[in-house]
Amino acid sequence: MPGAGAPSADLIHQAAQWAAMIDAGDVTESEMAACRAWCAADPQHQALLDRMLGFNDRMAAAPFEKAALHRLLHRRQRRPLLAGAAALPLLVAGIWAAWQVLPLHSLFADYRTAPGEQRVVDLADGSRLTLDTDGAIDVELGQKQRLVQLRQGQILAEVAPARDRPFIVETPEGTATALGTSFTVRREAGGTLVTVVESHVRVCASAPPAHVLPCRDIGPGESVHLSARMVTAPKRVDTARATLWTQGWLEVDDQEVADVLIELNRYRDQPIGFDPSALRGLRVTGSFPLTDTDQALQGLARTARLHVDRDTDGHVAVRPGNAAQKN
Amino acid sequence: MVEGAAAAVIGKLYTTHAHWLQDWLRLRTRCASRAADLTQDTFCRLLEQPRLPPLASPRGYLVTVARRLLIDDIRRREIERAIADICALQNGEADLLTPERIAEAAQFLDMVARLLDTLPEQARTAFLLRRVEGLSQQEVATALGISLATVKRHIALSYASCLSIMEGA
Repeated sequence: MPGAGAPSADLIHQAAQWAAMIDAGDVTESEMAACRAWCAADPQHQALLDRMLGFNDRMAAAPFEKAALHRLLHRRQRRPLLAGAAALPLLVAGIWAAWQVLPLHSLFADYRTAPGEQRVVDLADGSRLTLDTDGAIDVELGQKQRLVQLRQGQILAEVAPARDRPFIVETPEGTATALGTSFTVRREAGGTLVTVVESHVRVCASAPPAHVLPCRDIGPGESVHLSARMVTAPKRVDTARATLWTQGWLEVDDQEVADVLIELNRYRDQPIGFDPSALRGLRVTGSFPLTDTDQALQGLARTARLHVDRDTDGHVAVRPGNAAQKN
Repeated sequence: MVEGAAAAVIGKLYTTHAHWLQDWLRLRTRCASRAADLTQDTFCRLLEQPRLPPLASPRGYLVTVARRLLIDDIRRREIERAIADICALQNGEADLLTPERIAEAAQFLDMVARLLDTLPEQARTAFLLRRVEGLSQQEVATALGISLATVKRHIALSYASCLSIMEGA
């Protein structure tokens, strides 16, 4: 029965043609007129077209849904198998393939974080980057390789495996290359720190002298320091602690107070002032929230027995408290 | 077929094959309670059907129905998990996510996931690039190395499939 009930396949097909044409955004006057005439011919025509185009608006205004969709595709890639659901593995493989052929140019993107800000970036290939405070990265997902240039700060990379398409984090000092793994890269004054959480990463110096091995493969729980000239021998680290910043915590185990203050200042607009020589030898252990560095400072002051001075401009400075000086 | 007779046939199917089907599902879900639920759902589906086809292979038929339910179930769980992940990431702004908003998002995503499952590979990629990544049709064409006309055809197919899914739901 035309004009009522479910639309026929033919009608859906026609509406879809118009919708795709409008979506292309290159409609001529005469095409527009033809489309209007089609819509006017039957209220069901107009209704069908509206519903189709309504989907665009729904999708465009849905950052939450898009993020969840990325996550869904990412998860399918990670844990594809549910035994027996015969149609599924194939279908999942199809979706991987879809994401792997994602094009070059749309996937250039730069991300930045302000002091105190952390940001999770879900990449189109299913990988996820967590960018720490005051950071800057450029991302370029190519057909041959996936490249993240770490300009500043620290990232956790959770890499979606992709054969023949290595995932590389680059700093001026060198590169960390992974195929399906999770690791952090951090730029510091003296070079780059690479810590592997899962699987293996190849770390290579950018300008090694002739006699030095330029690369080193490091495994889970290992951390290396990378300078342009060399990669240091791996050190064992606690990976849970190394990635704790992604949960907004700074965990400190018997470290110099001055180093902890330097770390906290990375998360602050207004740095905490201090005299390193006055604090020398003062050590501290504890967990401090990075999401609220004022609270972190209070906690630190309590634990390390520091005195906090605030002036009227909002400047904050610390010095050793009396009790600490006596110790 | 008279209704009472159909119910009797299904009752017989149940006593003969329900155990077997539940084992089949347990192997695939690795979860006894999900297998039990899906077994019940499978027989409910049979009861909802206006007319039961003649069954040459009752187990084959049951498995067909059960597999479809299993795939729906897996997809829903995947979506729930993905949403939970994103909610966890947004803990600061989680207040904006009311239960209604989340339920609505889940429903929408279920539709999109089904759409992705229906589309052939290239059309699926074109759809993702256009709708999710926000490329123009021309940019999609360049990216995939195909003509603009082909992209337009893929996009039209995605609209048509999308509507068919909404109609069917």
